[in-house]
Amino acid sequence: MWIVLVVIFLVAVKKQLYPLVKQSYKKEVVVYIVCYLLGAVLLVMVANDTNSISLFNLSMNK
Amino acid sequence: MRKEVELETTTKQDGQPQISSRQLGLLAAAFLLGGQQIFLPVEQGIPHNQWFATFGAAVIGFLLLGLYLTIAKLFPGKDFSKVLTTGFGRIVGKILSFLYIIQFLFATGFSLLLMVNFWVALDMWYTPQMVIMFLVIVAAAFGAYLGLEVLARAAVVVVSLLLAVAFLDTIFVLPEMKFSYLLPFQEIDGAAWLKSMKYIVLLEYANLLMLLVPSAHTQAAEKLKKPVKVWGLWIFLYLIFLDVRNTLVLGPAAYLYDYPGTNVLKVINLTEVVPQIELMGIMTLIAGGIFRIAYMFLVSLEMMNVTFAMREKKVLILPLALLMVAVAFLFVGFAEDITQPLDFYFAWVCIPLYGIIPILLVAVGYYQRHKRRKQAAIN
Repeated sequence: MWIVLVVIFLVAVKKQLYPLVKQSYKKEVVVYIVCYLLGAVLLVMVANDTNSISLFNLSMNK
Repeated sequence: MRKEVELETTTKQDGQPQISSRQLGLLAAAFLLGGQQIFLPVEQGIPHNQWFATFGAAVIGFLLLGLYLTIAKLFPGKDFSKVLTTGFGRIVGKILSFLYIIQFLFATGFSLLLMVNFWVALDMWYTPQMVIMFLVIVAAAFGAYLGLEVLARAAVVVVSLLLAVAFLDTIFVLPEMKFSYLLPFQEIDGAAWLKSMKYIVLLEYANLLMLLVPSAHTQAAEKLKKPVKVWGLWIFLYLIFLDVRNTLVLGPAAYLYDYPGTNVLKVINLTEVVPQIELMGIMTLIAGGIFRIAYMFLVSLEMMNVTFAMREKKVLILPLALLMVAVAFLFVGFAEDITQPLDFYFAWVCIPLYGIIPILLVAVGYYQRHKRRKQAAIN
C-alpha cells in the first residue's frame, strides 16, 4: 500500500516540477524542493522516534 | 412590492477574487469557532471557575484583535508581508516575514495535531491518527487550492450551524442549570488560571493575526474594522457563554479541556433529541476545525508566495501539506511532557511574534502617518 502512495506522490511531483523547470522558474523550483526535503527530513526524524511508531501503523488494531 | 435581495458579490483585482469585509468578519467568526477543539488541557483543571479563564482570555483576545485591525487600518490594502517591509525596512521585514512563515506553518501543524487528538478522544480510538490527519490535510489543501472566496462562503455555513445548535442545546439544558455553581471565586488557583488563560490566548486568539495576511483581498480595506470587530465580539461572548452554561449545568465536572457538548451529555439524560443535536454540533465543530486548518494553510501559502514573490502561486500546496503533517508528527514525541517545550514556545516565539512585533508595527504605523500628514501640511 505504501508503494502505491509513493508512486502517486512521485507522479504528482513530476507533473508540478516539470513545467516549472521547463519555464526556468528557478526560485520556484528551489523553494519547492526545499519544502519537500524539509518535510521528508522531519518525517524521517519522526519515524526514527519510537514514540511515534504507532502513527505509521495503519492496521485497525491500535 | 418585493424588495430586491442584494447578493454578496465578489469582484476581482489582478485576477484574484476579493471578499467583502462582511465575509471577512464571518471568516473570523468561523476561525474562532473552529478553534474550540484546540483548547489545550491544563495539568490541573480549574473546577467551577474555568469560565473565568475563558472570560479573561476573551478580554485579552479582543484587545489583540483590536491591535491587529489597527495594523490593517494603518497599512491599508497591504498584505502582512508588505506591512512588515513597509514598517521595518526591506531586510528586517524579509527576515521577520520568514520567521512568520515558520511560525504559521508550525501553528498550523500543531493545531492539526490537537484537532486530530480531539477526534481520537471523542470516539475514534481505533482509527490511527495518521488516517485522520491525512483526511484533514487533504480537505485543508483543497480549501487552500480553491481560495479565500470559497472559504469565506463555507464560513457562513459553519457559523450559522454551530450557533443554531448551541442555541437549541441551551434551551434543552435550561432546567438543569444551577447558578450557585458560578459562585466559589475564592477557590481560584491563580497560577492555574493564568496558565489556562495563556494557553487559550496564544493558541486560539493570537492566531487572529492571520486575518491580516490576505487583507489585500478585501474589497473595502478601510471598512475592515467594524464587521470583524462585531463578529469577533459576538464569538468571544459566545465562547464565554458556552463555558458559563457548562458550569451552570455541570459545576465541578466542567473541566476546561473537555469539549463542552460531551460534558453536557455526561450529565443530562433527556430524550434522544439532545444527543442527536449534540452529534450535529460535534460534526459541525469538526467542519469548523477543518475550516480553521484550511485557512491557516492558505495563510501560510500566501505568506510564502508574497515573501518569495512566487510567480506560480499554487505549486507549493503539496509540499506545504507534507510539511504540516511532518510538523504535527513532531509533537507526538513530546506527548508525555509537552508543558516545558510549550512554555518555551509561548515565551520566545508566540509573545514576540503575536504581541511585541504587532505593537511595534502600530507604533511605526502611527509615526509614518504623522510624518505623511506633516509633509502634506507643508506642501
